[in-house]
Amino acid sequence: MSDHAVFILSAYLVVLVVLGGLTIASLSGRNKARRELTARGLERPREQRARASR
Amino acid sequence: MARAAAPVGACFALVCLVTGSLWGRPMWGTYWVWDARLTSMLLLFFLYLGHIALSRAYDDPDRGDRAAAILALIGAINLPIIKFSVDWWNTLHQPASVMKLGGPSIHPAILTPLLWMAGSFLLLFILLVLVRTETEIDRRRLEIAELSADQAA
Repeated sequence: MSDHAVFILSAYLVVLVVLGGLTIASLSGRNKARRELTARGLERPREQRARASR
Repeated sequence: MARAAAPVGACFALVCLVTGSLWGRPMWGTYWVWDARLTSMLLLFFLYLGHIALSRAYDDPDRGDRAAAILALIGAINLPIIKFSVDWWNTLHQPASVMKLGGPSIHPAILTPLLWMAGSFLLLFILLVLVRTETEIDRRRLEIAELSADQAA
């Protein structure tokens, strides 16, 4: 491996950690909000429309 | 939507700064210089942090959103500065090499993957903003439901 490998691999690691963490946080936040809505008996408008069209 | 987009923009700006520094060390011999492009990019990162902090600083979300929107309008001045900083000032950063008159000056072997990656990152950005906007709408619906329940009680 060249001398630059450490910089290149570190850059990949930073991207993986930051953007991977952001993606996981965004998806888990959405799932949490959706679960709370369901627990309160509130459906999201799209789900209401889907049920109405069935 | 700005409330949903700011954290995503902050993360992308952070990735740009850190990976740029990691590229700068072997290429320029230093991780950081107070160069116009790097400094204006760092300012953008701080503007994102300011936007996030300001939008959550008030009990009334509308007031926070209004204050953050003013900061975003002022911060938008920084965008052309970032783009043209390498042309306006003599910096360590190379001048514009993709979007310039006369076409890109980068070899196609580098330009093609660069454009593919730019497109991919743009799609990821849009996807994350949409997911976070959906979450924000759900959160506001929950807040409204809580307020209605409090008023009914």
